[in-house]
Amino acid sequence: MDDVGQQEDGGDESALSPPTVKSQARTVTIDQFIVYSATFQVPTFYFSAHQSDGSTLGLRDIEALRLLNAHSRPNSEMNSYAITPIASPFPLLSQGDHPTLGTPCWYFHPCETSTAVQEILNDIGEMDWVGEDGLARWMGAWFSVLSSAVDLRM
Amino acid sequence: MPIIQFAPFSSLINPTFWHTLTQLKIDVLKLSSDSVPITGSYTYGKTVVDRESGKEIALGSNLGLSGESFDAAHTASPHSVTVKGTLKNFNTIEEFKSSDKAALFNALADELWSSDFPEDGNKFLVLTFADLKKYKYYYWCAFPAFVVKPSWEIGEGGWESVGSGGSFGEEDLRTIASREEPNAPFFLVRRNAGGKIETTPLIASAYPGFFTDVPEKDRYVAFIDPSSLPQNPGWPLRNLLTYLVRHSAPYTSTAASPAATSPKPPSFKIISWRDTDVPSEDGGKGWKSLLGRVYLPAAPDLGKTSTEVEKVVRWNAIGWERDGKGKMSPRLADLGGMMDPRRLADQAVDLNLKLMRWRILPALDLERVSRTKCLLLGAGTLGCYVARVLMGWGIRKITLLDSSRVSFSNPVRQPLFEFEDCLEGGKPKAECAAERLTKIFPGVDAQGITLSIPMPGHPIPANEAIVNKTKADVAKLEALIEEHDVVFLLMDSRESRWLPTLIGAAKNKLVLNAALGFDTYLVMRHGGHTPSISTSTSSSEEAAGEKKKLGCYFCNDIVAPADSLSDRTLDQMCTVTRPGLASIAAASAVELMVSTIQHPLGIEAPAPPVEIATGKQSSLDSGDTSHESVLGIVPHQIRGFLAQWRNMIIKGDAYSRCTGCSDIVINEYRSKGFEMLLRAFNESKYLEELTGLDRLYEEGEKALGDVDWIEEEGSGEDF
Repeated sequence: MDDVGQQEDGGDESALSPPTVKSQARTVTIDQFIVYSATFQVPTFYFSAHQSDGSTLGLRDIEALRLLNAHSRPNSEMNSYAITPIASPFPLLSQGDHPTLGTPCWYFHPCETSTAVQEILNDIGEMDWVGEDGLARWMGAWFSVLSSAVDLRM
Repeated sequence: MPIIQFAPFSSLINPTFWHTLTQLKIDVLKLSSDSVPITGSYTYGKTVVDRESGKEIALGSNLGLSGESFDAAHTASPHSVTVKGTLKNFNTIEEFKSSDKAALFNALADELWSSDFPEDGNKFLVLTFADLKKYKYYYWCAFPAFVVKPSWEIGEGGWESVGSGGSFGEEDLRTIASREEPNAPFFLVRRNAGGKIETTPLIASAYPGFFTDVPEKDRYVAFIDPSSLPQNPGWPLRNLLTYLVRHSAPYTSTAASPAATSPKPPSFKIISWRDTDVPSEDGGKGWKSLLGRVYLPAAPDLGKTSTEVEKVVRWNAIGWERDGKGKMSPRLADLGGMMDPRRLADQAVDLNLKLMRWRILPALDLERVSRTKCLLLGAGTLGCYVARVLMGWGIRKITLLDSSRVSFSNPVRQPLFEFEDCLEGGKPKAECAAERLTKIFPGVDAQGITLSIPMPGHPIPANEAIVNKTKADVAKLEALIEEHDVVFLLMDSRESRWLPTLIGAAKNKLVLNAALGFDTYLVMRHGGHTPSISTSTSSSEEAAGEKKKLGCYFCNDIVAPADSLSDRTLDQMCTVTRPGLASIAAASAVELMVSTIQHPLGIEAPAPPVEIATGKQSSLDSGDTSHESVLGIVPHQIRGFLAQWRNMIIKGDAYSRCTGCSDIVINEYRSKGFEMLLRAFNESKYLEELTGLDRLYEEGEKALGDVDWIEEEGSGEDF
């Protein structure tokens, strides 16, 4: 596959040569979404990962990314909320289409979300949080549940 | 001063780009390879900090393509530049390969050269071929940039931060950051007479008018830079510079031939703009944008001028994207993983198993299970259920062996068969079952082999042809057992299990045995024969506590397996059992196999101690869990009694005179091979004599005779 015309690529001293550009690690783009589940009435975490050529990553590649904390979190590990160890197991990873975009994604099934978040709120000792403040705290707890399963880098 | 090396664009494609192209091809383009206008986008160069090394890594200078590239009405996201391009999709790989790429490239370069719009300098080309059957997409992007000789150089001091150089104050930079039309790829910056910074997007006719009466030191040309490398500006700068040169006196196309004068070589103050927001750090340190003086060391070589028109022939252009290995070659995107149904099925099954490990049992070694190769002797009720459960565990290699055909009573009890399979005499069970497994899950490697297993007590006729056929069958069975890791004995007779038991013991393969009564069942694993562990035969060694090997199906026999199949009543022949029993026994056999495999000692896993097996003690209390795998205890034998809804966990030691697995028979088999087997099939007393079982009866009788029975009169109350 050659002959692309004036392609004296070796001769163009003004282009940064490929090896330097290539020494950057392989780029994987991870799109992350938070979608409200009308059925379970909780936020749900969706994500998809693809390479620079547009091909999606399969399950094994996603494991290799260490995006998912599946291996490093046995059930009995303590977390920063030192009152009780995290009892919630790794969430139910599923495949499905993004509800609005329609693109294939991975997501954590929301059936256990409410319970898991409630556990954390109970641990903290839920005060009289109302209104927006209460919702913000709920979301904070939601993020901490999520971060036990996903490396969010926040 | 150093030559500038511009960072080329790298394409960054979103899967939606391929989906939309596929739809477009199917619905609109069909076989047309007309050019399709598309857009791409790039954004400010970014760096990330590597969490492990702490180093800053520059992310690629990316031109992004997505499904929205095909949507003319799509508006750009904030902080990104939209660029126009062309896509040409070929219908066959041959057309893709043989297309005149030079011509296509040059046509685009000509278009760029003759355009008055500076933003056209970013136009790109994508050639594609979509293989919709294999879900593979070949593509090649080109980002034409004009080459000038001599090459552009960077002035003394190189590229310096706009915040620290002294050219701009904090307020100046904020003015630039909050300019109107922040998505314009190129813009001009000047310091006006009052000392204030002013900007305008670089559109046709803005340059050089914007700089009228502005001293040279206060003129800057800026561009949104997709590159984040400290010394390498992005690709868009190349064509921007070309535009600037061609529109600067004395190089403008309407000027007289440059050779007539000695013009000053072009020099520009270029701002590589890389800030999306005003940085939070004070003191000018947070700004990422750079400033540098870009110039040519000598007047550009403009190539030949046409004598007819004083117009300069266009400069050479380069810009085909290199592939992943740095070669001048197209790229391939394989979307099979998300579009090929077989791969989707494979992935879904894999995910399901992994969740078991992630959610409940991290120590489970799934790989070990899935790569276990299983040979199922018998494709009847037990065989069908075993095969199903094996697939549930993700096992990929399943071989079934059976000698009969599907009959009308089979489908209701044997879940791999259907009514149609019974017609016309019935399909061969083994092949039919294997085919059905593949229909259930294409990712399984299922094979069916029709073969009759020779048995002791069923003599082989003395016909040479038949003897040779039997010999070949035995060899085939030996080869099959050798190739697999686990053998399941799922036949409907006792004696047919003898030969595979012996071969399995000789080859130290894990043998799982399941047998059904009317409402009782037996599931067991045969003991291992790993050479390093020897059998002890004397009772004194046993008393010393040395580990005894576990027995096989025949270890408790005092007679050799014989013909149990002739002269049976109908119910004995058809092994009538309670229908639920087969699936219970079969599933238990598979789970016992998996539990054995999970044990660190595998085939040599010890049976659980009696107290634990009988439930008198839990292993947590004893503190010793060496007999357990992550899935729990690994029994030797399980006997189930459906009428009482009860299981018994039993251990049976290996018997030194066993016709199936004792050293005597194994050694004889190893040294004499088929000759020994033939005698076992033909001579009813052979195995008993070989192992000494025949003498056992005599010894028993003799021992009984030796005992002095004390016969006393009276009530016998003294004891």
